[in-house]
Amino acid sequence: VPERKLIHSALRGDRASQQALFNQIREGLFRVAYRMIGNREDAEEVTLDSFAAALNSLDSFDGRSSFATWCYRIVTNRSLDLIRKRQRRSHYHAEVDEVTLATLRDRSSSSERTLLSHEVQRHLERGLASLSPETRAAIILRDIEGLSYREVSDVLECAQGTVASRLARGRTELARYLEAQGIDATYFSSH
Amino acid sequence: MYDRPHITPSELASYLDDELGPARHRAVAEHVSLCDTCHQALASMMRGQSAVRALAPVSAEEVRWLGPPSESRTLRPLWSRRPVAAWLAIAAMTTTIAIAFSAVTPSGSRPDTRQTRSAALDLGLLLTDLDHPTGTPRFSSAYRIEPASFDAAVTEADLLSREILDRIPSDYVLEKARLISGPLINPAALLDYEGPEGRVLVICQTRGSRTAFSGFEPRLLEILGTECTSVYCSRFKAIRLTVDGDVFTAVGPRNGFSVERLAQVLLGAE
Repeated sequence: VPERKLIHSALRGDRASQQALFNQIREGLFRVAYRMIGNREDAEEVTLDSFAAALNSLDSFDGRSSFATWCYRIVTNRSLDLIRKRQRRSHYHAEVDEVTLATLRDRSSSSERTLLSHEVQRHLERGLASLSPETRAAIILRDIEGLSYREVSDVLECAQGTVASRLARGRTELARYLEAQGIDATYFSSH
Repeated sequence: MYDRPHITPSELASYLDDELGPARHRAVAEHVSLCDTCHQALASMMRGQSAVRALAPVSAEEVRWLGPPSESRTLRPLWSRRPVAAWLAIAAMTTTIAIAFSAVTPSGSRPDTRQTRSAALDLGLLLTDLDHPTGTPRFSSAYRIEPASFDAAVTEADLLSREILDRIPSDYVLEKARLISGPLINPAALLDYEGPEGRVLVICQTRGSRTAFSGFEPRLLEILGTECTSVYCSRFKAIRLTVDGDVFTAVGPRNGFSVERLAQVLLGAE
């Protein structure tokens, strides 16, 4: 079913269409939220809340960007909101994040096992988390989700030049962070 | 030494992503091949980009869309959730069912001394101070809803648990966290009802608290025995987290909070 038709039906409250739209973008929204926020339960919640918000304001969707890009904008903004809120509660969440990291390490032994060692994955996740939220968002949208500069600028509501400078800063900072952890720069090209 | 002005970092990023026009792309390529500083800057960016792409994939398979929240799910006192006429209808229906049920109960059978539960749902707020040395899990029944089915119960519980969390003053959570230095407040919505399929428990935990109850359904079911036909934990908990025997490692060993303890709370043995 074409996206436009699904949106039209979803707008009329058709549950099957809403579900179909959700299934189309669920993985992408969750990946963005998860990589932005760094823990699964918050990411799940932000994913669902963002989709609910998208549905609620579906009548204002003008179709200039794709529905997915539009939802990316919502999920990115909500993730940024949550991060800011967290920063205000840094004491509390520092504890929670430690627990989350431990559980991530535990479960990475099953379905999400990759070629990279757990230790390197942990450094990678920490390195990504060390970037400023805005820079991180640009990196996630471009380097993980594969959005074009135009789409990223659309999602982040900034100029394409800003996207480029955030990407430059983020990639360089991440490379430096990993080097500081003693991770060989050639590691990633060989895995 | 190559003495042309260096390429800006943002242009290097655009070059790396093939976002430059053909002429500019060629010019940058030529510059980078001659300028060691820009060459190194580009190499660093490439390493950062490769690293991000090497992140382990994550799956959203557990993220389920249960439908948008409706106004009827707004957390309000029980009596204000429905018009009076609706409550009267429910009361009449419940009474009719109770009379019909008593009429078919075999005479002379042993009276059931267990605490009887309404056909309606009890939705409560379970607040557990798991890490507190003297913390006692407490359950307070506060809201009642009447879902048409198990799926509806799950949906209601999911939504209400979130709304309950919103009702907990963040200062309270923060203050508790400071006192005991850890993720210790575990708000959960608990639905406990007698449906056509038997007693059903629906436990919906809210954010940051999923580790407390994860993976405990089979064990809890075993403890509750025939009283309970199914236990469901909502998306707010994770079933994949570590369980150390009956005690959940994330919150258990330090304070002895176990599935048995939770069962006590649920059964009202507190």
